Amino acid sequence: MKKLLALFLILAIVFTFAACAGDTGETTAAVTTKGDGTYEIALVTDVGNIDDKSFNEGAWNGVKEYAEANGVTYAYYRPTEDSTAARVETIGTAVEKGAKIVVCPGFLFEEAIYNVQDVYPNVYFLLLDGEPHTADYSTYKTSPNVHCILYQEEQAGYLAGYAAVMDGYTKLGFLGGMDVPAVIRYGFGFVQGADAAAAAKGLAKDSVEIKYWYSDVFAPNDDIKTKMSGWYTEGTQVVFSCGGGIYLSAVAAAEAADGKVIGVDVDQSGESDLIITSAMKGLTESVKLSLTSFYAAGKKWDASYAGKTATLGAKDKGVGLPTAASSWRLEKFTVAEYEALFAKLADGTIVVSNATDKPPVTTVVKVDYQS
Amino acid sequence: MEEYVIEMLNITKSFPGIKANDDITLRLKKGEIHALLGENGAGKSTLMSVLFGLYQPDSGTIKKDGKPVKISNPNDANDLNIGMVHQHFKLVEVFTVLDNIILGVEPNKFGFLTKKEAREKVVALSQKYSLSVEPDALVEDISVGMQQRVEILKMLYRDNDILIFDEPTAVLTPQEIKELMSIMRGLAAEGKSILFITHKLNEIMEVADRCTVLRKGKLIGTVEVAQTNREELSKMMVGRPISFEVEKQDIEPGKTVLKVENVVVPSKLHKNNAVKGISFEVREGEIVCLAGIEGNGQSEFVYALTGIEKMSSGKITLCGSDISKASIRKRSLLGISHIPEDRHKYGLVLDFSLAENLVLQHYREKLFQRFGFIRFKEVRNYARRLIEIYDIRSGQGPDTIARSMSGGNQQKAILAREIDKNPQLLVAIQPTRGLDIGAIENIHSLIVKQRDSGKAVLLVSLELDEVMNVSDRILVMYEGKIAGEFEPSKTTVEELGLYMAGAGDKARSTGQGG
Amino acid sequence: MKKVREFLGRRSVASFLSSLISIIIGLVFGYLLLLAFDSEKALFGIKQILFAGVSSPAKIAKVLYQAAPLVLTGLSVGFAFKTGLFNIGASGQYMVGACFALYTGIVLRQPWYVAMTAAMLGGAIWGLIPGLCKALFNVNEVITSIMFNWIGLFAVNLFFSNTPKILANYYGSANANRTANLAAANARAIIPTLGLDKLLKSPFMNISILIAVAIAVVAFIVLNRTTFGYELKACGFNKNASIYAGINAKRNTALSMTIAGCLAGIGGGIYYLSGTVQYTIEKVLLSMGFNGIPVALLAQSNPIATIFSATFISYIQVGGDAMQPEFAKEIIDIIISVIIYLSAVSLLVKGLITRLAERKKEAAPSPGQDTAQTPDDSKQEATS
Repeated sequence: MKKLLALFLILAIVFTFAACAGDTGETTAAVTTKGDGTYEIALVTDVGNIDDKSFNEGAWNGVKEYAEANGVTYAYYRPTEDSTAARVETIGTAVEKGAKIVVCPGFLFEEAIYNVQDVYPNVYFLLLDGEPHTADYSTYKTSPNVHCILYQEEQAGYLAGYAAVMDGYTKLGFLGGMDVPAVIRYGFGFVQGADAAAAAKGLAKDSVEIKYWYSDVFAPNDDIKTKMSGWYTEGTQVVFSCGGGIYLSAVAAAEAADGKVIGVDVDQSGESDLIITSAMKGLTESVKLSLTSFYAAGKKWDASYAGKTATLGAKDKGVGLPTAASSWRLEKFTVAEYEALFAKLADGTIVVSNATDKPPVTTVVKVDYQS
Repeated sequence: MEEYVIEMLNITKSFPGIKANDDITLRLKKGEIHALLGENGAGKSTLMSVLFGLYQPDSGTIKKDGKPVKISNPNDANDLNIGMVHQHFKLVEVFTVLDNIILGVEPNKFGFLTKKEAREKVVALSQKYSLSVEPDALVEDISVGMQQRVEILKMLYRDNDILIFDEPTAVLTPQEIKELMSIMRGLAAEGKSILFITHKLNEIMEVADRCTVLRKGKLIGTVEVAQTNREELSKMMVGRPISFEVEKQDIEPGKTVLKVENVVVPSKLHKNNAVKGISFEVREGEIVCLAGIEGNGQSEFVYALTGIEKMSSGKITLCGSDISKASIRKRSLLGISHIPEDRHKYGLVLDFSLAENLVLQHYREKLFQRFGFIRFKEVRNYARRLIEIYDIRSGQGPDTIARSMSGGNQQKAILAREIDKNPQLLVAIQPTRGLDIGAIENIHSLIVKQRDSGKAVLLVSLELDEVMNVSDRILVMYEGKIAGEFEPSKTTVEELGLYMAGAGDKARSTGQGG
Repeated sequence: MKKVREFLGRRSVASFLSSLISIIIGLVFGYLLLLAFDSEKALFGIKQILFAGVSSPAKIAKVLYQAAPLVLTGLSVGFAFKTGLFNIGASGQYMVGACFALYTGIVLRQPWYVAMTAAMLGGAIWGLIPGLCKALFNVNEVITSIMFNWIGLFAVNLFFSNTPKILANYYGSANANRTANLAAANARAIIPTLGLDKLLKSPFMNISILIAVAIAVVAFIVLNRTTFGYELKACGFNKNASIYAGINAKRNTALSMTIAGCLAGIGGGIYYLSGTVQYTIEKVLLSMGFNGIPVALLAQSNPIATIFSATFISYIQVGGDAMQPEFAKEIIDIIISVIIYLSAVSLLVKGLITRLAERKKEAAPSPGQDTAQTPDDSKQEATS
């Protein structure tokens, strides 16, 4: 009896632990529109749930808003595990459930889409932030039923850099994950934006400094935190943290040194009060845009979408800073000023270079490329 | 006025598959001591549990003072002034005696304890019935005998006049037993009625007025103790005549088998040594008994002898080889067999089958394993042989789960295992504890047979009857030392009792002086 | 009637029945839950739970694929439990096993069987330490193994973060938060399929379930047929009596935890060498290790039954996934939890069933009257 009691206690402890540790996914039933048991627009999450404050959530909001506005059935599916095989399987389930178009948020789907695009030639796919390729990256191929969306990270970075300098920050930092093209575009865009703002404010040469460094990982670690602490101690006021979970290290260092951080990809303002703004990709908008086109063309990709990769920028609302009052933590730079800047980007008045081979030329800002 | 205070009429109580009480009638007179006699499993506890409200009878009625009553729980029993002293005391060890007595019926005024009146009542009661207790001592500090008196006072404090004693003498020394008997007589004389559960015939003969005997759930009869004798009672209880004398051949002890020299064993409970340097020998064809009250170092000594605990100094020699530092298995292989004091805790793996238990030390032998795989066929055959020889009764033979066997048969299984090893030395600790007369007889004869075949036996026992009947030599242990050595034919239970209680030296000096 | 009683009296039957009853009640509860969420589609949901696992060869493959590591973590917990130890550390052992396997496979470029052996070793180390603490210093293995789960998690993360050659981005991917895709890094480290994947038309299918079953059978033989298993079980059931009989209980405690660690470690290896998943650097303990506890509980620690209980859990998980999108797949976790709690209770139920059968059997007069378990006896046992 005593043993049994002990067993119960232990189980209780263990499951409490497991519960703390495990998925925080909500257990409510999937949101669906009632129909005949088929769901025309499907979203397959990369691995997490649709409330992940990142790609899944952004894309899901786009699906939901479009489908509800247009009375189309829609549903989301979660793969059983974090693997290409599971994502392929789940896409299969979505197709069985009558999906005409499957939205796949995130580059984790690149391989899965490569595997399924020719298996389901009559189903259409929207791949966000990636392009289909084989497991070893040797072959890239986008079939006509697939449309890929990439984002002009340099524009997002530009907006963030411009806003930071306009807000009065003069000692900036860029913390990149790895020097992959997407990250480099963010970084170089950030430098260009800061330089433009400094020039516009008429600041003296070298009065704005940017420390620039790649951590070589996308996961937070103590080395990054130490490095960032050093920056903040040397006077850096705000760091644009660009890459996966490394913002956690930046935020940790910022907390200790009373510094600030700029987020990336999605509106990260909810993660920490120190995140003054985020260089966002417009997931929700771009999903809505693509779905609109898809239905306008008679439930298929038209020629400009089929098998093509679109690189979305300001003119497609594919990039931006979060302007909601709760996210806007810039004090001197106003939303109106931001919108004026954004319009210039959108209409092409401002051109941001997307070159990744060599650093942009700056006129005012002094960039300290560290290794 | 009614003659009977309690009448239990035609009580039948079935559990799924068994009738624990089958049409039993028991009548208790006012002011009498009524013994309830029966072997383990005869239904005594069930009957008392019915009276105490723990079980509901399937049929039959209970009358108090001639009026039918319904007792649904122990509180009802208490309201009818029925109280019970359990075999295992229900005391809070870290409370004082007084606190324990008033526990559950705390006298209070507006929720505040008023202990003063309680104390007065307790002191008065203890004087009236000569139950000497120290009201302010902690229960954990007082002797077992006094703890029992506290239990009795608990009943008296609640004004109970029907007192049930469940095997009250099992934990007491001879002197304490005597004292208890006189307390019981005093209580009866004051008009209390006593139900006295026991399987010890001597006590019934000494103190009881009448005796009801149960066997296998059935009522065998109620007799006037004055008009019966031990033999008749035991026959009623067991169903056949029992011999109380253990038959032994006269044999001359041979070579020394076990030699113990100045063994000191530290205690796990306190800083002092539990065994403080003892020396003795056991020879072939001899049963040496270590007698003493529980907790005087016997257990610790046996642990050291069998290798379970380390001794801090001294030397143990078995058949000429020094085993002071040998492992348990080595000692076992060299010829020590061991019947542990607690058969459930140490003797058996209760969830193993009988066969698996019977090879608990042999499973590594060639016969029972090949390349590390157990040869279950051989194990079963061996088990069948032992079951046959030692008359171990079980439901499914070798495959019976040990837990489902009766205590007597479990003990027989352990004996079979240990004796079949043909050991040089058999160490038996309390081998008959908790067993009924039939089983005790059986086990005694097995032990004596071992001695008669020229082996050495070391018996540790708290039961003086057993000590006197079985052993060839008696060593009394008191506080970790050997207080005296006796031959059963030249000593008395009383003398042993004095030595066990630590009064040995005084007795000897006065004896010599007188 | 008598035959029925005898049948019920057999321990294995009672175990099976009690587990079955918990499962049935759990599923009924699950159905009620589905009704509460969406009464129109509840029938569809429960059908998916019950039958989706066999609806196609690919689904069967998925069931088996998920069952294989579960069998092993279940065995790990069950094996330790048979010897009286609670191995709550299966999760940590599983992760360390996975880490050893992946390092051996990806960085050292060894074939899968070498990697699997490494997984075994890693798990064994993670089991041995709590085992030694228990044996030598009598530190409760539950505490140490829970702590070792976390130590294992962070040690593995730290190791992976600082071993660039093991991460996916070293092999061309943009991903640095997960280990390399085995197909890209070292295809020889992938567990072979022997054509099973083609047979069942599923990329998930390989021989891992066969390995798991074989190991379960070995565990069963070791526990029930060898002197070693006999010793382990004796220590588990009654340590004191085993010590009295001269069995080295300390050694067995350490060994038992080591073996439990081995089993969980193989579980980690078998899953991450399947070639489908990549180990993701996360801050949460992997649930596969914890799921071993319910699997073992449902199987009542019997190694053979573990195969079935793991398969069952995996089966209804696949069924739960197939309820999408009508129902969130997390519902199946609730149903599994209910089954587990019930099966913990079912240990009680099992006791009742056997006792009932024993009593009934003894009601008939038999020569072995002594064996009758009367309230007197049982009470004495309880108090002693």
